[in-house]
Amino acid sequence: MREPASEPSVLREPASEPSVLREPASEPSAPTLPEPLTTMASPFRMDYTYVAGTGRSVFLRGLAEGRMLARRCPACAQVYLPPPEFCSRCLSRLDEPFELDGRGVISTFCVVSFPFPGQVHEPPYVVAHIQVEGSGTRLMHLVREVDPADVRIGMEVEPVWAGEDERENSLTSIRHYRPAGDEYA
Amino acid sequence: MTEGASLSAPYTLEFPFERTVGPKIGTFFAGLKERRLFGARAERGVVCPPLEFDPDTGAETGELVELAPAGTVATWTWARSRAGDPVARDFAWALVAIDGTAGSFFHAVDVGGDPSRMQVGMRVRVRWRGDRVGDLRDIECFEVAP
Amino acid sequence: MRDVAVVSFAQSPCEAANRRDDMAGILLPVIREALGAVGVDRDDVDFFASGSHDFFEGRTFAYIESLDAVGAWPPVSESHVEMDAAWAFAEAWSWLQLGEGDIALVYGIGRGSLAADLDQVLPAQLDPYFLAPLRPHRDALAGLQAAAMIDAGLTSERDLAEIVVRSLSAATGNPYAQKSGHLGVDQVLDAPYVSTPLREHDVAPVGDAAAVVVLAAGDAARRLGDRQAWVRGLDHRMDTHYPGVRNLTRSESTRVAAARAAELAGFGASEVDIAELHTEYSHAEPLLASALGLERTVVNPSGGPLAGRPVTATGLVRIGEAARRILDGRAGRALAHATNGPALQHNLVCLMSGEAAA
Ligand SMILES: [Zn+2]
Repeated sequence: MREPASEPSVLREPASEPSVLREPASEPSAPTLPEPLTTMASPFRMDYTYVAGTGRSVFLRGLAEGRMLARRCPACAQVYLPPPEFCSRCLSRLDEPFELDGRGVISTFCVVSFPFPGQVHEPPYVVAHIQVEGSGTRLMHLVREVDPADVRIGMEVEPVWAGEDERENSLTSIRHYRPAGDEYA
Repeated sequence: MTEGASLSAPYTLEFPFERTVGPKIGTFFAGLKERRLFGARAERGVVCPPLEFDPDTGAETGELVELAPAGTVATWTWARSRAGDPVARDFAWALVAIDGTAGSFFHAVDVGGDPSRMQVGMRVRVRWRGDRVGDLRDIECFEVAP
Repeated sequence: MRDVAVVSFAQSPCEAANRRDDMAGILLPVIREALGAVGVDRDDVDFFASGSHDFFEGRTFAYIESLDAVGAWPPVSESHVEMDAAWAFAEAWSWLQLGEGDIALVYGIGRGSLAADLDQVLPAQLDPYFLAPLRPHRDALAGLQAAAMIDAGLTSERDLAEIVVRSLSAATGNPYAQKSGHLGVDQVLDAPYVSTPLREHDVAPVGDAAAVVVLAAGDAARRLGDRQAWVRGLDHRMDTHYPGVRNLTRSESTRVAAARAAELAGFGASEVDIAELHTEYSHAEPLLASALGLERTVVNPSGGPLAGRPVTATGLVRIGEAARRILDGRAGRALAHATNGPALQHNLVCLMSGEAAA
């Protein structure tokens, strides 16, 4: 990029002003300028198709049947839940799906207290990473049926499934997780 | 959906952005609201719409000058009208050289849905919107100048 | 400059709409093929660079999913550009020039089919004040550019139809092409207009595909195969943003990028055997040929983008296709061009040779 011209060349009056430039007779110099606006609306709306992929589809179909399906890597033994098609550590195709009961412990969580557009749940609510027993990865879901102040890392939790007629190919087939330890039994 | 195939589903994204504008663009939009057209001085001459920075030097553009809302079609392409387009029947997208400027202005040209009426070099003028808010759509489109 | 070469290239077939695979699923077999061809293990790769765009994928940080196909654990050195993957190639080449490692893997993913209507998406790449509010049709600015070229006497609708016929005919030999065939010029000229003067076949068919290029430096490159496509020069330049202040009938950014690449390479665009040009529209070919000074060069022997345009992988495919012809001995020198932005706004030129710099 060139240096900005130190000569005021960009401001120079053309030798002969184009006649079509309207110079109001009453104001022989610069025209009166309107007060500048500072913002403009700039909305976008876009429609897409989501493609889940073969691996993720196995998991989503399982949810519609009320089953939580994991898959194991034949090479490194990592168990994925939800499982993709390939192991992201060693890139092997994962083995056949098998079912887990979904119980696990909270590995970390946060309490969502702020509102935002499109929010589905009324704050405050708990979103947690759940280490499902038998899986080497963590599943993110809501934790309910407990005061957010009582949630803690290491708490045992279990899935609460939606009714059979409400289940679909979605994580919403699990309504939420809830405490499963003796203290809440 | 057969077993083993991938699931797919439609969804929609919306970005309700509000965007800040620069001082020259802000004045240009305010001018449109008043049915006035401004360009900015740059090295090559007046550019309309006014850019904040000179496309040739990168320096800030110079003073704003008021222009007659008319010009000449430099290039055009024919388009089918979609919902929400500037013209409700098929129209041209065109680069219009506003009189007294160096360069051209991208906008729609309405010739009554008849592409045979479009010509490079034809004279056009701004058709102003009735309900102007201070953005580019305050110019509804360009139309054939008598 | 360090000697850096393309040693391997692989791509997936360009599909009009892949409804089977997620990002990693499209990419993984292509990475396997590219690495397998030169016997490189993933652990031998020093740097990964990729290109894709969230607006095509329809999700923020969409490319993260693609890392499942390179294995992001244990952590790898990687970078992503939100544009055509040819620019990821430029980054990987620069990274190798800096001596940070010896082997880099570049991948591009393009999913043109996920957006239900690209007319909704493509305005997002335009000037937000003076173009996006009008929501121009996806092909409108290209139509203006083609019209300006015809008006200036630089091409004609018949010339463009001949380019289409030649490209789609060449693509019959390309198993990765989305579209190919032996069409007649009159048949092409009978097709309906998309955005005058551009007709149906003048516009590259958008699709889904992945491409992978493996780059290696010096002795590592020589060890990995008998032939290398040495990257002798690379540069990219941009024209100004607003089309109304550009001369749409010229590509000054391509000309300058080619001149700089030639300076690095020691040979110019006019001296290559084949050129793969990122022509999303037929009229881009005469425009680019003029800016590059191509005369007798074979252009787009793969069929080029008119035979398949996997959006953000399209430019990287050009580099791969050009390199492949050096790797298999069909060309001594080759040029690859890639573009981003409306009406060829941003252009990259890469000059390759079967011979390393003396
Ligand atoms: Zn594994």
